[in-house]
Amino acid sequence: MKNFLFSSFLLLALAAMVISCKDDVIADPNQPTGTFTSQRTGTFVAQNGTASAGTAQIGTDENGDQFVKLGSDFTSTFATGTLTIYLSKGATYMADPGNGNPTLRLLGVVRAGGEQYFKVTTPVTSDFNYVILWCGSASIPFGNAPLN
Amino acid sequence: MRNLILTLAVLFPALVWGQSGWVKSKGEFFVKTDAFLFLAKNYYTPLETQLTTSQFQQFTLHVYGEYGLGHRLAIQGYFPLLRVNRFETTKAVAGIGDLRVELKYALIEGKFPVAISIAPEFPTGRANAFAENKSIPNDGIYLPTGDGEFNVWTTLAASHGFGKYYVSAYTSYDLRTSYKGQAFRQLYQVGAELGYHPTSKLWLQLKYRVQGSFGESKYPDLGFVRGDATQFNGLNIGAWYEATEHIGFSAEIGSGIPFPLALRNIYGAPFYGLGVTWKGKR
Repeated sequence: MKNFLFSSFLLLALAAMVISCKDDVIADPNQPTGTFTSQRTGTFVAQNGTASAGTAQIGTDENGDQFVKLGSDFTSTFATGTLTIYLSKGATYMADPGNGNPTLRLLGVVRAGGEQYFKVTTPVTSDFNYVILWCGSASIPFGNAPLN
Repeated sequence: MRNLILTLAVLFPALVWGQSGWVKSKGEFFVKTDAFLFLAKNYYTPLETQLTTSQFQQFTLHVYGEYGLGHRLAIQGYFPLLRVNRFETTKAVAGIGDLRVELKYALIEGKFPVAISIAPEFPTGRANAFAENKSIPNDGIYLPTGDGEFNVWTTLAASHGFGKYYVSAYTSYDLRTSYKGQAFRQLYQVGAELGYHPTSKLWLQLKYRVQGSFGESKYPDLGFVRGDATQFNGLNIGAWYEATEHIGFSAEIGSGIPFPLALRNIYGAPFYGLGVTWKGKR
């Protein structure tokens, strides 16, 4: 009897969890809301023998939030691991952590080619005119795309 | 000068011992355990460009053994018991390396011995060890402890001893296979070793070897992580002190020179090794 009551309670608890999860739809903060409108665009130039290529765009969604979009033609060398992607005020990665890296904005980690969005959590001005692909582990640039 | 004299190390070090024409007689054995450490920032890409990277650090503990089977045959084995890889920016990854088992046959015995050996190498190491970046979550780099493929080395070696010296020369061919359907380029090595016996307990050794590859890569992704087409010219200086009849100690420093081949897919770094040896007859 004790076992039956315990099993029934477990089943009810599981059912409640499933129903509650079904209702909680969490929006992906890295996906734009509505239509993405491109403001500037660029094409990746490969560095250090990598396969970086494809397009990058910066623009806004319908909420006015800023995003960087990598196009469906985007690719790079992922056999070595993941890459980090930055908005930068120049083609060269210039870290200055003591001063809060004023010329760089980390957007996220890239694991594969193809279309993907990265939300710019702290909006940038037009002088952030490059998207940089950076191998953060080896500290090697994999490519950059000038935004025009 | 910095670019003329380089010390070398690679993600998957090639042989750290020399090859000779001598084959252990039945029951004779030799075992060597050694540890190597290097720290490197200069990387030569498969396109021969020199890059400065975050510091790459590798510690390896090897065991190497030879045993005479009789009838001109000996078995040799090499096993990286522990390999620890990291960049200064990442956490460390550790694992065993690739096991190599070698069967050696004396073609000619006597004053000018010549031997041939076949050595399959099994992908026992961690082919996908992923080192996580210490400061950026979810970012990282593959630093495998093995290359993930089965390959076979074939070696022809000859030696000659005279007075307090010996000299050996060898050539090897590495038949590489593939990783996930991507074919590696075949490798070759040519090397020579000069030994000097200044006292009854001490050996000094100078080893030179060249490793090259054949053809152009069809799969650039095999480069850094899988060690495809690693090319170098290496010079090692070693000393081996026989403390007792059975136990000895060794020390080695590896160096590279920029000719005749250009350096490809390799880190240049100080490369030091210390070892303990055990030899005898059963």
